[in-house]
Amino acid sequence: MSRTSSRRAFLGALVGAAGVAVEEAAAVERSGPPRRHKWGMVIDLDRCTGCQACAVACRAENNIPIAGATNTEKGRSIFWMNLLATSEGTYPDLRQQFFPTPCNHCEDPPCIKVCPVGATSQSEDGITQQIPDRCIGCRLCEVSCPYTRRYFNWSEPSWPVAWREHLNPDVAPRPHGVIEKCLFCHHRIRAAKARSRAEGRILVDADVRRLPACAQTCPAEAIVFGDLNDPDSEVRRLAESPRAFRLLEELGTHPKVFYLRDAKWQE
Amino acid sequence: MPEISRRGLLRAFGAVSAGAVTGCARYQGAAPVSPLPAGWHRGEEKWVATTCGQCPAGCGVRVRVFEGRAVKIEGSPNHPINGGGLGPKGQAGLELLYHPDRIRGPLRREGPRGSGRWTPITWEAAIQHLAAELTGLREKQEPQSLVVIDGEPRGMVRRLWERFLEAYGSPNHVTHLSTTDAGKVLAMAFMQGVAEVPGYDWRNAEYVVGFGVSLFESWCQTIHMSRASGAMRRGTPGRRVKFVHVSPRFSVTAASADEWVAIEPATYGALALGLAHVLVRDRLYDPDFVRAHTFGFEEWRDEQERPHRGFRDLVLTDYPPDKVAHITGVPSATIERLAREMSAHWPAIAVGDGAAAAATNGLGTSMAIHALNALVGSLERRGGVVTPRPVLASWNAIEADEVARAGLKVEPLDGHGTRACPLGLGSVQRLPEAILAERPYPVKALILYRSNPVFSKPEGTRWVEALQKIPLVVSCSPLPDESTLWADLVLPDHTCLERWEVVEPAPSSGQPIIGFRQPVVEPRHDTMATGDLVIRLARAMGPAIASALPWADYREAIVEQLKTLVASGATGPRVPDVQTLLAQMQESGGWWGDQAFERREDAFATPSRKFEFYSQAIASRLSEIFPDSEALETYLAARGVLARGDDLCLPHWEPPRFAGDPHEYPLLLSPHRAINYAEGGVRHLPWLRELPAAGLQAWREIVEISPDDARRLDLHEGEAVWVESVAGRRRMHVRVHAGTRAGTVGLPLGHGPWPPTARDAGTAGGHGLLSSLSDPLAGILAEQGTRVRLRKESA
Repeated sequence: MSRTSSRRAFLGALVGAAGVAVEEAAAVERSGPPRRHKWGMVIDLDRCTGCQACAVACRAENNIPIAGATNTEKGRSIFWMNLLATSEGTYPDLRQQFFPTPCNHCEDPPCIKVCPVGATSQSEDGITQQIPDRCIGCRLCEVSCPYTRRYFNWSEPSWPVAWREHLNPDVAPRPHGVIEKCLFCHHRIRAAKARSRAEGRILVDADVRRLPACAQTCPAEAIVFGDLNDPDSEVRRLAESPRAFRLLEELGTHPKVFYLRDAKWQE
Repeated sequence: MPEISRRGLLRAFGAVSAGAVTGCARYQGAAPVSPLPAGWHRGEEKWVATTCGQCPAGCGVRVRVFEGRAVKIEGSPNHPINGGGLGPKGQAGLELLYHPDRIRGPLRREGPRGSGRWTPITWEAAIQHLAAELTGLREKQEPQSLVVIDGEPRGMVRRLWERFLEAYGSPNHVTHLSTTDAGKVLAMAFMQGVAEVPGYDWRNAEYVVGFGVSLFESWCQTIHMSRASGAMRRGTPGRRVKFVHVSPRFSVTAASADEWVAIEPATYGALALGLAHVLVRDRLYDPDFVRAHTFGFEEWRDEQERPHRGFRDLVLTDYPPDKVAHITGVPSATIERLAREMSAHWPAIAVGDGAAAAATNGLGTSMAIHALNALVGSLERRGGVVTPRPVLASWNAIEADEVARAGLKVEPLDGHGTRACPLGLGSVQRLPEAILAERPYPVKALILYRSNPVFSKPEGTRWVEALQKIPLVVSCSPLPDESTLWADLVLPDHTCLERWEVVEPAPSSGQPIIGFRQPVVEPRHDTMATGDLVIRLARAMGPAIASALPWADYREAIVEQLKTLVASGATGPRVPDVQTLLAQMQESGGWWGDQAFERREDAFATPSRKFEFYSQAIASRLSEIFPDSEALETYLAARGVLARGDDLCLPHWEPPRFAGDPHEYPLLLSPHRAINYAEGGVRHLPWLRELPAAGLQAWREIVEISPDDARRLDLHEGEAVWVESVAGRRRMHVRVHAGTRAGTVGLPLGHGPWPPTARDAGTAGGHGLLSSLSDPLAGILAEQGTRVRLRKESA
């Protein structure tokens, strides 16, 4: 095995490498449906059981490398979909809440404003996207994100030969030294759009409701994805629910990820 | 113990990428564009329906296969168990399939035991070798000296082993039951006459009390439960089912529950009987159900007119709330309230599992919890507890020859049906003692199928000694696990994504379900489905055994088995013939029938044909094994059982016993399985190791201690500490955890080093620290019954 060839050769070898969401947005503008999408997500915390299937599915789908013991201890693991837990109280009066946390895809994202090289931007559909080739790894966006949803790639992505077999051919691994983040599985959105175009129809809510890998795998059906601009979509209906809230709403970032939470059981 | 280096071991197993799992191997070469498997075109992909095998739940999955490589697993949208969702373990199936450390083909040991020196051999030679050894044992008239430890709770391969051993003549088909579901299964067996895990119709239930059961983490139907709970909480506007979780530890399940009731360890049975007391005292139970469908509630007289105690008297006299509050630490006001809520929200389900039954009072506790379901009338009702019915029939009986008949009469080593385990179905944890003492007879050959006792059973170091005593140890593991290190012959199995199989999943909602497995990719290595191995082994051993397993291969056996579904009375979609059924299953990943309720005629297969608060089966079993009351009395006294007479046949609670002197070992070890505990552990699959909630210590073996104990013992987060018990000691790291009860030490099981080495044998992962202390009558492992001490590494 040659030890000299570069990561680019590796990236190039993956069929359909697609880290660049910008092309995608352009494609939508050329031939997309008349209404502009505004992708959003609703996570029902009353359903979520903290199983973390979403986080594993995300790693599998997006070729997120294994951190390993050393990087884990240094806090360098990458989770586009993470699980944050808040707890309070002392034994036996304890409360704990889990929050599955993808990128919030804010309508007014602080991360974009600070990028000195234009590596991060917002797509026409409202996805906060990241272009690895432009990123210089300054990590300003990482510190500016109030939700800590951006991850710096501390090492060259690598897998043992055998595990490279299961890599997703639709997603390119990101190189060492750049920022990576949740893209709402935009490669799946693009494929769904292509499919509906081929069938001569526009994308409907049922096509996308469980489209991202996290939403598809969620056993509790707690994650719903869809178009917030579509007045009839499930995600819109839930986002307008009285149970809905967003993280750190007071910052004015206008996240497009909504959480639902009721009080606990009442007689 | 021979020292072997990890790398040497891996090389021996044929793995090319040592260190893969520890993440230190970096890919640096060019990306070779792998050649396409035959029949595949560039860019071609398909989805294959099959059944996940990472836990016994049997979720239906669809696997995306791209250019011949499996690249993603998703839940099957219409599957009744998981309905399109899939848990983290199922997702990680890809890591198992393509695991860099997989054993490449059959191996024979070359150097000394545990040296890791192996020679690859052909399957033909391996099977001939094993067949010759096993035939030799039969020729010496000692077929009973063959032991098969079978870690699969149900399914086809289990049926094949059962049949093989019957024809061969060994009573030693040992299961993992006593360390897993024994409590629930025995409660069902003694109170309903059906030895199976019950199903629960969650979707229609109104109230759930879980006793120690990790409903949302790790039990036999976690994913089904997650899905059902979504529906129970948000499925119908205005309806929200209450979950009450009873346990000493504030776990993920406790956090997700509507109410968490903190309880003293191993006192669940007392709480259940305290709830029963309030239900009976205040007439909150279902009198119609109790009158019509139960036995032993009131005092009764047997054929000799001897009076027997009833359940009513037992709970009213022995379990008043203030006494129960004193035992359990649960305030009596809470007990009263919970009983009232249970009665007011019908149907209510009481479920006990794992931690609740895993104590020396396990059987009485499991029966006490199950009795609540009968009291509130939830049995066989919509929204209640449903008895599962077998979908696939058993094969017809075989004609065992003389050697086999003699062998089968011998006492089994796990104590099943003997004085060693009078009310149990056998105890796998008894084996090391029996093997080392050669009592009642020596073990000459051991086959491990989906079983890794050195890692996942108590007293791991004893297991290592025991394995070394056996002349022939065979492992069917696809990975070089801790027990395989000590094997003489390794006959690696396919992984679940590579084989044909019919799967009988753990009962979920009580709906009859059969899962279907088909290879999603060609087998990666020169491995063989163990089903095929059993059939070929039987064929190589001559007509006496071959005639019991006459099929050409495993697939043919599967088709034969499926014919019993076509012919069975299970209600559901009818299929004209087995070919149609196969075609349908290949498409859908399984077959499922209709849920049925109110079928009491076969749900209560007891002598009274009713649910038995007073188990007549226990009474008759005890009188069978102990000829007179004196023999029983001696036995009970010797084993420290406090209950006597009728109380032995009724749900009851007695104080738990713990292994280890409380002064020497002041803390109680409280092991638990988190959501990432896949078949065999967490340690070999990085996606499961690195779950986000595991945090910075994800790759370490940890113990959890309460903030108070941490202060008292001067221990800090992340600090290394020796955990010492009567069974062994292990260096672990401290996690200070507010949800751990003071005086207990939480232990997430299944971590440990990967790949394993002989140096770690026995205590890696934490199971090995446990004592094999068990329920003295039922043989249920008291997993929650080991005391430990913590010693600072620096001290």
